[in-house]
Amino acid sequence: MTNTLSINIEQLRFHWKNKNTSNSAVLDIPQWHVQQGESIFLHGPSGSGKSTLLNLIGGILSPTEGKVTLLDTDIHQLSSTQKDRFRAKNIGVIFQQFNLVPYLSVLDNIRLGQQFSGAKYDLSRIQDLCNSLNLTIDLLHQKANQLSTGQQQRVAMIRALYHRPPLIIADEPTSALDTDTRDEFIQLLLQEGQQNNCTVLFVSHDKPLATHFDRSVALGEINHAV
Amino acid sequence: MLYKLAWQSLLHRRTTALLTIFSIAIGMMIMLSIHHIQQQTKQGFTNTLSETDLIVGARSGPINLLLYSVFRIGSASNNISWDSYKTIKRHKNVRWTIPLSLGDSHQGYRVIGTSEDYFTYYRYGQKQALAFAEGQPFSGVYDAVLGAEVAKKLGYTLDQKIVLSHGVAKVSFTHHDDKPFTVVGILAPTGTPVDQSIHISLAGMEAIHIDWQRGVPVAGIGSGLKISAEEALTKDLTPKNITAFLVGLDNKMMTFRLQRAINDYSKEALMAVLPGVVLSELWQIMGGVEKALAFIALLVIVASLLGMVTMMLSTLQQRQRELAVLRAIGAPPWFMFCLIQLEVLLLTLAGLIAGTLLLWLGMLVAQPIIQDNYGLLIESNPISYTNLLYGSGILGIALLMACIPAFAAYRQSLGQGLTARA
Ligand SMILES: Nc1ncnc2c1ncn2[C@@H]1O[C@H](COP(=O)(O)OP(=O)(O)OP(=O)(O)O)[C@@H](O)[C@H]1O
Ligand SMILES: [Mg+2]
Repeated sequence: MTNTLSINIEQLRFHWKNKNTSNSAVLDIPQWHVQQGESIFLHGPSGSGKSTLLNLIGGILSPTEGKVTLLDTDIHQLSSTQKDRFRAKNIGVIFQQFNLVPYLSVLDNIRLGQQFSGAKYDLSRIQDLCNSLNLTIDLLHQKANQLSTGQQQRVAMIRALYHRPPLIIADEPTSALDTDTRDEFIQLLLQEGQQNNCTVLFVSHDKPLATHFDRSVALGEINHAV
Repeated sequence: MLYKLAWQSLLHRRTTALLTIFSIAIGMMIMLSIHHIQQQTKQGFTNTLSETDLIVGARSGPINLLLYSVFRIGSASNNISWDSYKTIKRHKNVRWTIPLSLGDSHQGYRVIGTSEDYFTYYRYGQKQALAFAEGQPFSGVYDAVLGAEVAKKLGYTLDQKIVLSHGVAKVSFTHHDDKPFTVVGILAPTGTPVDQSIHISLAGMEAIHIDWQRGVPVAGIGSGLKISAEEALTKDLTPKNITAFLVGLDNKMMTFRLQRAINDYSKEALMAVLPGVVLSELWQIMGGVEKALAFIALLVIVASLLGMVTMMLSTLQQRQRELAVLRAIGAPPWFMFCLIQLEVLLLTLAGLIAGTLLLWLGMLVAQPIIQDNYGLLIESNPISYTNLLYGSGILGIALLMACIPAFAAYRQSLGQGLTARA
């Protein structure tokens, strides 16, 4: 099982259609793959296309050319509804900030993800995750926008982990956090990921963070677009 | 979950949501009230008179004749002579007549001089006859029979002495205080202008005006020309003229023939009208006004719906992050579409219900006012089949219009990356 490919990208090219100024591709990745259970630190300068790559992997954007295969599924062969379902089930997403629906309670935010993923509702699992992420249980009934940024990010992590997705993608989830909270967050994310044999693709331009991860990749290495 | 999301989202923006609901409610209220009041007054008018084949009065407008003779609205420009009345009353096809002599009032309630036939032949609603709650019809010259509302509002009981005033204005300065009347009967409520009337005999009407000419007392106060109540009884109290009269026929087939005969009456300019025909003329006139009002109400509703849609569209900007979150956790774009639609549905539904309740409250307030002024008892409950139909129509329009922001949300979430662009 260890050499199953989690992410397999072949001959991927992408350029924004609405950009009339330059016809050049943002991304041109001939070949890139990630093993199941690996934790990857992806970095690169601002505007280099990191978020764009995540959107392609998440099935939100469609590649101009090439293939993105996740866990043996060529996701861009799927219909858009199937893509949405695939994402809900197999990918946990955490991003920079504003990860939660502000007017819902913490519990409802987690349940929202659980319902889209089709997983069973299990309060004790939520409580377990809360415990391991140092969130008190009574926070569950608070409105999401009443939480601190660090707490919100940890709730987003619970939501991403809850249904044990094989892949977690995180787009600069720590940029709004202070150093201590940030390190704690990454530690927890990797620890939970490892326990669930979950691939973690972590994007940041904060290079020192790379030490926490199995592998560090500069987007420039794999991306041949200028 | 979708429902919870929509509901919590609206709660989150409750000020805007409440304002939106309120504006829809007002539109709805106007729309419904126009329809409801119109329908209820129509019914009220129609219910006031039953079994009467012809209304006869001096020649003027048919609607005017109907309004003053039956609904106590406005006043007659001319009287008709007692002789003409007697002639028509004797016509072989006439089964009954009810003479009406108007022009006086008591505390704003109109006084009707009539005959005992009023209590025998007058019909309202579904051919219902008048009933006495207390007492009996008048027999003496100075006897009066009160409508139910008059007795209730003024707190009068049997044997109460009342002084009639000249003219029909609320405040009158000339009173027939030398000839007080005694209440001998109180009618059961009917929900028609009868409730707002005071009935006396034609002789009584004649007696209080015996020392009057052309609407003013012949002599000043204290002058020898005044005739006292007792003295009046000794005089001939046969009326010289009356205002109008109602006619019931033996055979309805004869209605048009008699109407033509009365209209062609040579000795006096008379006019006979069919109440049903005049009512429909009245509705025709009101119909135009009603359509204009309904159109305005529709515009009000559309404006408030447009306001709601605009609000939805502009909040999409603020909701971009929320949509990004939903998208990231796997919500398909049509989920956003449904979310917006559901929010619009909830807002509109709340607006419609609030509008209906507002109208209901309004009708509870308006009911006694309308009854006091027009004698019509209108239903305060505005929920009816047609109004439900209107409500669902508005809901349909709202959902149709909501497609604009809903589709915008759909588009937005399609183009939305996993990162919320703040
Ligand atoms: N919706 C869009 N439409 C058109 N061009 C876009 C869009 N989003 C991003 N781009 C362009 O694509 C390129 C890559 O953007 P992307 O957001 O992937 O960079 P990034 O590496 O994530 O940067 P950062 O580190 O600042 O988040 C940029 O040149 C950007 O201008
Ligand atoms: Mg980015």
